[in-house]
Amino acid sequence: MTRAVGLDRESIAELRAQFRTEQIASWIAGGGVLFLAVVFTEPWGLLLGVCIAVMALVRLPAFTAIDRDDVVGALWWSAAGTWGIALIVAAVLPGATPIMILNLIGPLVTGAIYLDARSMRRLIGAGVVVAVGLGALGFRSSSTGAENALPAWLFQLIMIVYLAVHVMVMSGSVSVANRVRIATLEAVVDANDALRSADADLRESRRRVISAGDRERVRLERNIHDGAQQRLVALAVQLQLASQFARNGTPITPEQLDAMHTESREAIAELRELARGIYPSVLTERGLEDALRSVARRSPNPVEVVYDDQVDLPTDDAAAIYFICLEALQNIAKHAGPDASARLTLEARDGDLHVSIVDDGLGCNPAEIGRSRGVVNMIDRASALGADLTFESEPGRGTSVCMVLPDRPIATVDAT
Amino acid sequence: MADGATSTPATPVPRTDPIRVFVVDDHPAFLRTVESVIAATPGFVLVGTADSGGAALTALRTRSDIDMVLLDVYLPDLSGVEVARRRADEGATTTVVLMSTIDPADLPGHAFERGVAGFLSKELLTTRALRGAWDVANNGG
Repeated sequence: MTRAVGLDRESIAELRAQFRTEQIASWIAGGGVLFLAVVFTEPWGLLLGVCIAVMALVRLPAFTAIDRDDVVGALWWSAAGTWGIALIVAAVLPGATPIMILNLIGPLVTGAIYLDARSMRRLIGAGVVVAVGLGALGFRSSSTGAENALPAWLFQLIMIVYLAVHVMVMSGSVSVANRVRIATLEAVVDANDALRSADADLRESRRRVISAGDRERVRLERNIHDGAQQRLVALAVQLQLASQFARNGTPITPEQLDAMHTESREAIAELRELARGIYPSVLTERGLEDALRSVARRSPNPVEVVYDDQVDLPTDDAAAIYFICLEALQNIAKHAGPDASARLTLEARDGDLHVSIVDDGLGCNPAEIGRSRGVVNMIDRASALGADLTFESEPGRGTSVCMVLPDRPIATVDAT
Repeated sequence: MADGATSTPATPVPRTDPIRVFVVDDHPAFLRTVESVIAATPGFVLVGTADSGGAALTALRTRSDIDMVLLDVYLPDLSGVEVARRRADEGATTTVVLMSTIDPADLPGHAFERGVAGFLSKELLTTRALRGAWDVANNGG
């Protein structure tokens, strides 16, 4: 690949535009010299005009090269034409040699902008050879005398115009290249900023996940301490008391035994509820579909579950989807109103997994959904899976929660 | 009585001067259990309960018929340790025994500094432990 490193479409388009300007200038120069040669009947002038036109033709392959993104090849063709014109002009009109130094430098400046170091070293090598040739031609003692065919003022005017045009083209191309480079740099800076911001979001999300974990442990500790543990402690004390009664011969009443039984059953019920909150056993034992159907059945609002049975998910995905759906259904129970019904859909589409929970309840202003702890948990769980989670709602028009998990392999179901 | 502090109806108290116990705990199940243990302990009588630190302070400040307070460490508002400290600051001399399900080694270091005469593990509460706690605090065992 001869394309120079790190050039985008815009830079290449700019280089092509520069070539076009130079090409037009070459045609005008060749045509102008031929015109003057005819007007002033100067044979050297005719030769010069023809040679400039030939060199302009030499430049033409630069356009096909750049259309193939071959920047290095394009620059070489362009340089060959430009330097060829400089050498021919210096040979025929030694007086114009100082001006031709611009033709020598032009391709080197363009090369410095667009070429990598290795290609640039070669171009500089060629430039040095051309410089030696240009010097030798310019400082030689004999002259063709062709410049004397024109009135001195006209010759000087042509050289001044040539100088001005050349400076304009060259500085214009440098400034355009610079602008492109700055734009590229700004794009890199923007991308870096976006990356930093994503990184900060990730840290914040990770911090929330950890503190949510800690909060959850505190909540569990409180629930165990205030619930099952107190009941078991009470039961232990009552049993000890009953044992003391039995030793003393004090009768134990059926009510006392019933109270102990109730206490033990309450403790078991509380422990079961706690265990379900920590990790639902139905999810590990019977899978996501049954777990979601079980949550839907327990919901106070009617919930229809549509589960694409081609979906087969790893455990992490299943747990996150379960807890996100659980939170969404709890939110419906809390906020959508008693008449709301909901539909929970999980389906594979285009290699992605789509999960949605849509209700026809009271809805709300989307801005209000924002930052409740439950919603933040949902967002964090989704982002940990690389999934997008979106909330849509409108007062009186229900709420929808949609999640897309990209690139989830789907288990193929054998039809036979 | 404010904030859930309640008094049991006056039980026939023999003139042998029973020890009048006030219980502070926010768990109804445990409160009922302490009630049965006190009822089964000769010479002890339950004279009232409270389910928060604030209700306990109010009751303890206004009543003079309390000899012993069984005080849960973890209460929804003030900790039992704080209730005992405030009572001590107010010059109260009632026997205060802390109760908890947690290991006493996990209690804060200053828990027994002011106003606390002893500690009872809730699961080890028996008639003998109750009497023992009173005796240690008042008769040096």
